[in-house]
Amino acid sequence: MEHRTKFDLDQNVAQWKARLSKSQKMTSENIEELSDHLYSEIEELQELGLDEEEAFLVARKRIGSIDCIAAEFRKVNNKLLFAKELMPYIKGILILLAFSLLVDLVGKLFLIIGLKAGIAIHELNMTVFLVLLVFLTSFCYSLYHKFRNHKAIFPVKITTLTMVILITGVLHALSSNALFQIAKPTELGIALTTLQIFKVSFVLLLLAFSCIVAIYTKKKGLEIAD
Amino acid sequence: MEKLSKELIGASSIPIILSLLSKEASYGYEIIKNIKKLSDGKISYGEGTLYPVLHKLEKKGWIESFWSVADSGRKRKYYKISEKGRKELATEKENWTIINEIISKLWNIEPNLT
Repeated sequence: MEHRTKFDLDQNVAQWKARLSKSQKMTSENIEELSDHLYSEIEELQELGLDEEEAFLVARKRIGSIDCIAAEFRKVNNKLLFAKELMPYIKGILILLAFSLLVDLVGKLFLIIGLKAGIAIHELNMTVFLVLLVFLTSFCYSLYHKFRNHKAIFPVKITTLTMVILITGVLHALSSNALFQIAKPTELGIALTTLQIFKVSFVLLLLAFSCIVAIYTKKKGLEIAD
Repeated sequence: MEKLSKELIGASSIPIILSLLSKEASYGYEIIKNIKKLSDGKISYGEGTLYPVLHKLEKKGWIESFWSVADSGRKRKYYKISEKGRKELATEKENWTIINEIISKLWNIEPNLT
């Protein structure tokens, strides 16, 4: 005798919703609304005498294929989808910026330490290089070790747009602060400070734009698979 | 039972939806059922196509949406007409009346057209 597992309606609807979400053309609100529609249709079909599984299959077919629904919703969610498509680029720019700021900050920290300890800058070169080498090697080794043991590299997910914005912002503030401490009122010092002010305005603009995109997509509840 | 052409259904969707919502707030599934009933099955919106139209009307500010819990206990999104939508509906009524008058005049003059 054929043995069939009992049909689980909620689980099947959840799978259908997951497929809609995967199309990346609809907001979570769109999907919730359509799932209510699907349930309403199922209920009506059940009243006509169909069992749960039959009603689900017919209702799903009536609503249309995932591709068709996604194509229709794409037209309405156009602006939102554009923002979503911008996200990887913004993230890429911010991560690159964060990395260069980190390198910048480490250099400046050594300068500050050198200045405070009264060591001449040219004498610092070798020390800085060696310390950085040890630091980077141990950092890379710990990353590799965590990766091999399938552990998360960082305790929180740092590649979300919010985290990237936060990290870049903090690094930039620290880096600027470090420069203002080092810069002496010489011509080069003044030029560097002016340049830093220009950089700060640029980064602030970039961060503000990123925040707008992050808030906009979050508010609209667009389903984004990171 | 012959269905109306796609173009005609598309052109009439906005006045029909606005008129329905001007009577009472409703949700997607109910709107589709009501229109089907009203038109004796001649207008049948695709299940997956009405929602984008509703969202378009919402973006234009002609209708407003709100979430509420239905009798079934599920969350349901309802739509109602806005003040801006009522004005749009009045304009739509005028336009459709004009078209109706033109066609009536033409067909009265030439009764053998059909």
